[in-house]
Amino acid sequence: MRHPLIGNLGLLIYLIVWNVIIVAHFLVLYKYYELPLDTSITDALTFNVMLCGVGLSYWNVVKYTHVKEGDWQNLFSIHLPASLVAVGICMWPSSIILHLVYNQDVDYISFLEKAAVWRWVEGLLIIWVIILIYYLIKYYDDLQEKSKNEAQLKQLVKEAELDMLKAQINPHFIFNSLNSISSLTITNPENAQEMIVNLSQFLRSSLGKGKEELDTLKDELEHIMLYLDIEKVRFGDRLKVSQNIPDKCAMAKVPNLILQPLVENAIKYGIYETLRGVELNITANCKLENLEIRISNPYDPQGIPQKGAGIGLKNVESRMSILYGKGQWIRIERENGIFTVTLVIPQFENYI
Amino acid sequence: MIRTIIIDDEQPARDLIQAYLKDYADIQVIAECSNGFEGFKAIQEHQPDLIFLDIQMPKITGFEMIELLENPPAIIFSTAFDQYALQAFEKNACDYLLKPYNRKRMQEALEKVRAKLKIEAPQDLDPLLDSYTEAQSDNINRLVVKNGPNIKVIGLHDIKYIQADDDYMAIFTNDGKYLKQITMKRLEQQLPPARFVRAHRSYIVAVEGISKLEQLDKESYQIRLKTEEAIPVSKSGYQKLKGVLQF
Repeated sequence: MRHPLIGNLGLLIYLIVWNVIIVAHFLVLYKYYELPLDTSITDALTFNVMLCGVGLSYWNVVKYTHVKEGDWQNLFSIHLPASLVAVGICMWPSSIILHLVYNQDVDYISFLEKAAVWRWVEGLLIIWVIILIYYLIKYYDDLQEKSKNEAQLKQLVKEAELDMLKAQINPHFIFNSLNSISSLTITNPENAQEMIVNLSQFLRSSLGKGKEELDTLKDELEHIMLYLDIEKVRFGDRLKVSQNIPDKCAMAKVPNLILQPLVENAIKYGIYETLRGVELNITANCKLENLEIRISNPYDPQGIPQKGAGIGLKNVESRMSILYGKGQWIRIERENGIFTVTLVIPQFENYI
Repeated sequence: MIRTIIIDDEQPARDLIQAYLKDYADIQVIAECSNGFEGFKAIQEHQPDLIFLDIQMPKITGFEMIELLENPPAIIFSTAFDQYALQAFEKNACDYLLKPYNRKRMQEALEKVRAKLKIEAPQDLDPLLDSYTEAQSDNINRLVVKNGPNIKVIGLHDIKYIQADDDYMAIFTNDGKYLKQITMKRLEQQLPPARFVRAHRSYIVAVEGISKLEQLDKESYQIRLKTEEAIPVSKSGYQKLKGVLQF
């Protein structure tokens, strides 16, 4: 943080205030104590000009001491000695200078010594006011900084949420599904109606999720089956789904919508890279400490996808490591024309 | 009669086009295909006037398929494809139907096609394919070429180098040479720049296959591949190689 008084109007105001102090100091000496004019001027200038400089550089003490909000004890234990040192720095040289210049003037020298206490008091009061002003400026700046950071953070969180939503519902999927419905209203209205209901349920549960990070396997699978039912209308015989989930795994916890990208990936490679179609197989296996979910699909080992490896799997991997720390949560195997993704999800509650 | 083929991998999508087309007496659907391979064969066989074409399909995409056609028929894209590509369609000779669409939209598309078929000018798909290539933000992973009556999909990792050969590009792979009708410029744009370098006006080389750079005389070089072939290097090609190989 830069010096709050330097480089703007602050310095001008600061110097004007000091001028007032110096003039007041001079008037007190000249009118009230009836000291000679030159002595009054010199006395007022030496001490106050030094204090003015020290006051400016005192900012560094405020800047480099980090005191927790409301920790008054600590604040005093720093600034009391520091302000004493600051005033002392001005007292000593100014009194030496005045002694040297006016060593002939016995009256003045004796006044100087008697007035030392008041000079200390004056100096300390001024320094404390300066400290107070510094803290007010600093507090105000911090407040502004904080609200700026908060706004930025909110923006980031919102963007992340939006990205997540985008990732959840593929627009391609939605528009193709709507097109299938449009077609079924002509060829098979009964099925059109069923598909509308399926799609609505799927969208509703997609939108509802995302609040809670974890979901039960049962709910997650229901969601996935809705998705697959819709895809079956689009792809017909080319998509077959089988699943084998032991009942005891039903209440295991899984990150919500974690299966969606895996199933999408399986369909993409199964449907788009082969002409035969795809049989998707979902199985689960649960132990006390973790749940294993396997999704497999046949693929064409000679096939070359149009673009490189999907980001779907990578997203799942990074989401798992955000949730559970670094680890081997996802395994990929390609064997005998079968592509298998195994997801290991740690369990922390006794769910069986 | 406008002889028409529908190419879409989803049965309901094909049914819908069929249902809409029943309104038009001058349109005759002569085939339905569920992927780009079938579509390519059907087009070669029937030489239709019009095709309805989906983009994302099994094995090869709609775009990869039309790249292979020598005399492409009129095309109406029927797709839920991402928005960005649509600008490409708008500027070019084809029309597109964005799924889902209604009868009115279909009628508009057909009117455009009828107008175009009257002119009987040969279709120039180059601008469309160029803008599509431009719109593809990710680089591709494969090239699709004709191999006699069949289609061959070449993985980029199999390509050694590519040489301009009149109107064709000759793609030299580990298992032989394939010809593709495409401009050098578009091909260069499609290939990932970290893996392929335009070493010469008529040559693109796979970086992975480079064994060494041989100096012929003071300022001329040639590439020696790991498989021993020599590829000429131009001055600007030398600069590009410098950038990619970092020597």
